[in-house]
Amino acid sequence: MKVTEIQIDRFGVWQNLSLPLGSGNAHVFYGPNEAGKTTLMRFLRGVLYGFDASAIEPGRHRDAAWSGALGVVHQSQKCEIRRTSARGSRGTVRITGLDRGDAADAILAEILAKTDETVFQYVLSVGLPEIQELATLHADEVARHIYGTTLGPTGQRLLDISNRCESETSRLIDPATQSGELIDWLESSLDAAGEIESLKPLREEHAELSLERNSIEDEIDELKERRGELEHQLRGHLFLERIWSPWNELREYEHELETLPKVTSFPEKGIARLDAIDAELDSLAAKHGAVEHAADELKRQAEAIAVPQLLADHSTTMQSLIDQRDWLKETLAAEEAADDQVSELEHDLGERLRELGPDWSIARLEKIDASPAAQHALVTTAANYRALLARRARFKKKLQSLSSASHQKSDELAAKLKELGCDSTEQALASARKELSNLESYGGLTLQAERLQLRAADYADQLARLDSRPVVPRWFPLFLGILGVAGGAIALLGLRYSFTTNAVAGASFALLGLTGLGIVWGFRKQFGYDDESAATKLQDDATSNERALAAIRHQIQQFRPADSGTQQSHSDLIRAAVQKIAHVERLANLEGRLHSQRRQLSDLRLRFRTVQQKVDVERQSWCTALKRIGLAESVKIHSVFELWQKVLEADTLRRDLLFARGEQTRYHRDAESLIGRIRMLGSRIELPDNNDADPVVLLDSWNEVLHSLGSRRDEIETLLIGETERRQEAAALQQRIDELRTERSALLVQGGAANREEFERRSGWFAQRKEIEELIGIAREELNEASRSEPELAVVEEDLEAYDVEQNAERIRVIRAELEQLEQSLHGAFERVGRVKQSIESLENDSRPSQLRFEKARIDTQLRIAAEEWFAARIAGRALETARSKYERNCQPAVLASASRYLERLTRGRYRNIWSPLDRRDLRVDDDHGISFRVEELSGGTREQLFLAVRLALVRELTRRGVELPMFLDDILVNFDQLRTEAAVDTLLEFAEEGQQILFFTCHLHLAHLFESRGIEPTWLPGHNLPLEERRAG
Amino acid sequence: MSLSPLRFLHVADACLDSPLRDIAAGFALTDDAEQRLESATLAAFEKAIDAALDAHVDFVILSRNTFVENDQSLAARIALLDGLYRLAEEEIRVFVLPGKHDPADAWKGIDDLPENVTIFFDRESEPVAVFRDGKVVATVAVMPIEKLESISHRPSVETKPAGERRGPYTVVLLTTPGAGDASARLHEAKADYVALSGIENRQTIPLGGGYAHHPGGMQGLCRRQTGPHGCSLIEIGPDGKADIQLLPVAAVVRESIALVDDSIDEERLLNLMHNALAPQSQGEAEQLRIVEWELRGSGAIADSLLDAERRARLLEKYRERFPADDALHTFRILPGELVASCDDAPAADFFDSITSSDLVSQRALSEFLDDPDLSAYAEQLRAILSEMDADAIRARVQRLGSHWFRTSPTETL
Repeated sequence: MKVTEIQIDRFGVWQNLSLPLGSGNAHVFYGPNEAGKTTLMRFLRGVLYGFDASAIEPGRHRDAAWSGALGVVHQSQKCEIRRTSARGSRGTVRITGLDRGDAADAILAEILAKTDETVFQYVLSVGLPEIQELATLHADEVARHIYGTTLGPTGQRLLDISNRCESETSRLIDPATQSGELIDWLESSLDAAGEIESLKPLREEHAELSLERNSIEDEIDELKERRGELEHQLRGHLFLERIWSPWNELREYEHELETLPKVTSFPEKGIARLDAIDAELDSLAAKHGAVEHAADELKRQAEAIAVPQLLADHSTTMQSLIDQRDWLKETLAAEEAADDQVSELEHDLGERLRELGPDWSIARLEKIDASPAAQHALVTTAANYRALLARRARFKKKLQSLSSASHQKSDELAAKLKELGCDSTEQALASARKELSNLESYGGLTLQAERLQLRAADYADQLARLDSRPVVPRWFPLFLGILGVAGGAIALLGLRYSFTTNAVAGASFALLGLTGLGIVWGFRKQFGYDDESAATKLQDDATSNERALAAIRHQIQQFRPADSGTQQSHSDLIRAAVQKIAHVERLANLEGRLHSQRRQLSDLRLRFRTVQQKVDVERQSWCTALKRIGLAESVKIHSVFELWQKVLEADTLRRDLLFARGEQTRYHRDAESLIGRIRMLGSRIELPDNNDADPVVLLDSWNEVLHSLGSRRDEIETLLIGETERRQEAAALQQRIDELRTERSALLVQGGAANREEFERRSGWFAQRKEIEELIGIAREELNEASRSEPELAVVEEDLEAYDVEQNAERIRVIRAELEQLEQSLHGAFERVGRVKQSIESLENDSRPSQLRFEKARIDTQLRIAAEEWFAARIAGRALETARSKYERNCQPAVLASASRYLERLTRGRYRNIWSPLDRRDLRVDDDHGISFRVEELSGGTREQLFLAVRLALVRELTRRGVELPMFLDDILVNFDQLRTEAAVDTLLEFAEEGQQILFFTCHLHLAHLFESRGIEPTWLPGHNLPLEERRAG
Repeated sequence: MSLSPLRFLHVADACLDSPLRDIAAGFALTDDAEQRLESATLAAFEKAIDAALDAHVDFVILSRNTFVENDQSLAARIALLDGLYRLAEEEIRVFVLPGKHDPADAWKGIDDLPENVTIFFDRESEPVAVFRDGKVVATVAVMPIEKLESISHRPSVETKPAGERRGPYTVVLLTTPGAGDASARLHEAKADYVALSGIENRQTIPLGGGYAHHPGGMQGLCRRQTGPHGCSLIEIGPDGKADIQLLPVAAVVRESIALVDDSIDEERLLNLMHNALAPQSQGEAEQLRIVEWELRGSGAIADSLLDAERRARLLEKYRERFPADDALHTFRILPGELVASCDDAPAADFFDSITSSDLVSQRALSEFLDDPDLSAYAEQLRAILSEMDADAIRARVQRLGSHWFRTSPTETL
């Protein structure tokens, strides 16, 4: 749409105004201030989008009805857009000139290409206020055109990456909250450093403790030194105290020793020995008297006891018999038992003899040889005899079975030979083989006859072919002969030439010669000219063949089988002959086995007879053996052995009976002998009741008598022995008394005394002297020992003589008190040094500082890693910023790209690029040095140029999208300097030349002239101070 | 008179009772391992003293940072004095060169040092003679590198055959830190033995007539200090030739092993780890081994090892498979090389902008700390800038970019 005329019936200050616009797209309207330029612009906008009452100054023309029209060309069609409004309303539109039945509003919307009023107001119809404010470009519709509806995938990705970069950085350090992983590690490091710092005084503490330890140890050394001195003094005093006592005792003992009489020797333990001798003498004297008296008493008692003489004389014999009392009793009992055994054995033997039979008696039993050798011989003979009987039975059984089988086979063979019609197998086999031979000869002759017949036919055929061969001329063999000879000659000639002159010529001749020879050979082979007598020879052969055939047919008649006329073929006859031979051969084998069996039977019979002879011999031996041991002859071995068993048992009984009878006799004889002796002695000793009594009972009564007699004799003997012993004891006591008296006298002589009193006095002197000497020795030893215990202490005699016990004791007490005090001090010092050492050890073992330092090192490492990550994030962020900035500058929406070109023109190259950060509706401008400026950093003029450039670009974008609307500019160049004003005018004119209609309103005459100077005749609006009529007329 | 055979021990940067670094707080440790890690430097020092006594050395050099005074460690003081007194009992002299962490004042503060200890408090001081059987067998002096030329020239050192060398052995403790192979003045030195200082790793530089040597830190403290650590036993034969021998007294040995192939699966990785460790022998003093496996690439195994739980599971499986291996294992995952070319312009711009060599310099990192929002922690972070692992940061940036742009750097860039 292009405006061609403005008609204002009434709008604001304008009434009945008609402004036809000339040709061209640039139209400049000049009018001074308050001339109504802005109202005119608002009219233009109001016609298109509705009048805006608020835009008119209040109180002035606002209540009037507005009306006016714009002549426009839309799509090459002229039309008029008229808008009429009631008071304060936006008015109704009417469009004339277009043959369209649509509503005016719809047609107007189409003419406006549905361009939003805001876009029109802020882009196409702008004044200085709009051009000065960025906010006017931020209206949604306008911003959408400037910044684009979306960022595009790359822009969105860059924004996402920026966000991720920011979050990566914030993860480590978030400046807003002063928090993050890196800050945590920084603070941990500071905390660890603080903790380490708090432990640093440990070394000073250790040094102080070490000093204190050294000080206490010095103190301890001093105390120890003092203690050593005191201990030395104490040792001196104690030593004096210790040695003074033995020294003093020694001195006193030596003095006492000098006062005693000298007794150089004295019997050892003299007094004691004298006392012992005297005491023993007294004791022995008393004992001697008592022993004599006891002997006399014993003698008197022995003489008072009486003993019977007769009984005493035979007491030995009686005792002998009494000693055999048990044997007698046993013998009598054995005699009785033997009687019983004899009776029993006699009864058993009688029973056994009755069992053996009436011909058996004890006498016969006695004759039986029941020795082990005889028994062994009987058993061996029986075994041999039994073995031979068994062998004979086996032979007999085998002989019978073999004989039976032989008879059976012989019968079978005879029957089969009878079937064959022969008497023997040899005859039958010869007959069968001859039959087979005849058949084979017959077959061979038949085949030979057939071959001769075939050969005869062949001869006949060959003779027939000879007769049918074509006839060859007679000269032809001769020609062939010449040709052959010539060929051979040429070949030889060719060979010669090839060796001598010309090899090629020679080879040619040789080839020709060979060709001739080949032809000759070929003809001869083909036609057989060299067999002149072939037919004759063939005829002869056929004749001889006929003769041979006749001879063979004669032979066939001889060998023809008898049953050749039957249906059986020659091969069947041969098969039958072969089977017959096989059958006869089996019979021959059977016959062979039969002969062998008969030979075996004959051998067996011979061996049976031998065994039978052995059996007879063995039977004789058996009978002989029976006779030898006393049994009757019998061949029944089992019965014999049963009888033999019984005989042996009876014989055993017989032997037992003989033995029992012997024992019975012996017991009886022994008992009778002893009893006789008892009776005889009984009669001698004249004791009552000794004749008829049981000898055993009698012996028991004798035993009692002897026992009584023995008791009395023992008593007397004991008394006599006692007397003897007392007498011997008394003699020994007397001898001892004499010895002791001699010893006592010798002791007194040794002690140098004559009596006991003197002996005792001398003994006392000697003992006292000895005691003092021992005490002196002990004192000396004590003194030496004390000296040895303190070898470094030297004491002189004067010190000991001047020694004062009390003074020394007092000194010792004082030193010990001081030592005790020193010990307490030392103890305290040791305790203190112990505590200090413990503290030092505790400090030295305290690994906390090392642990903390290591922990801090680990934290610092983690801190370093986090710092590296942070630096990496920052570097990456910066690199990302670079990439993003480049993208923002180079990959902007088309509007900003276009605006950049306009801005460059408007600023004459000072500013070259307009761009917008990806995530913001904010403009940046790069100058010719590439430095970016935000809008607020630009000067006012430059900012207006920027916004003009953006609007021009927006208009261009709208045009590209099909929106062709005029652009109304209301004095937008007033803040430009001269150069930029000219540049702006030129740009606008260029813009207009590109097809955009521009209506430029200005109140600045130089601007009007500037356009005028560029060929644009301004429309001079009437001034506002002109009367209304004049404006209307203008 | 030929040189008397001489033997001395050189211990540097003992850092007694200093904690081992680069073992993250989140890394699980057994009590035993923790105790060994805490006492590693003390155990190493004790072993060094044992070695000195066993070798019957003539003297011991403790050069720089024997302890860290700032820690005020009592354990360090006790271990130090215990070691010094043990040497004193055997009449072995000890020469101490204070360092940054154990300044001269710190040594002066130790009241109960034994008589055998000589501390060089000044940067320059008179040489101290070492006697044996009434004869001077060596002189020990300290001086800065610029004074090296002032050492009285012993013509025999260079001009006479080795067997005819005369005079005591000259030992100089260099007070100039960091003087390494590149220092021309060092090569002008006339000393028999120059004890270098302020160098992180073990180094031996043949000089005109002797050696300049630094034994390296007694105990590797950080992850960069890999391989055997300990002290040096220097034996000088009658001909004046020095034999410098490493005594690996370090209680904890750190290893860094690169596994270049990231396309392997878990089973293969376990076997590779085991095979890589199998040939390594364990020193007598070694109590614990920390192995850092460096896996470069962006394969599945590398991605999986970025996850702590999966890492722990893998190590658990390794321990089950190879129970004899009681080392501690850590992983360092670095991305592969960037191959820039793609249609994704923002991604390309991103990866282009992180290729700068200055990307992770201390200066570049420090700029981030100028943010006023970080003022409370800036100083603390600035203090650890020198410890930052540039490769790890670069790897993390690369990994973030790959993750964000959902591309594998080696595939689509």
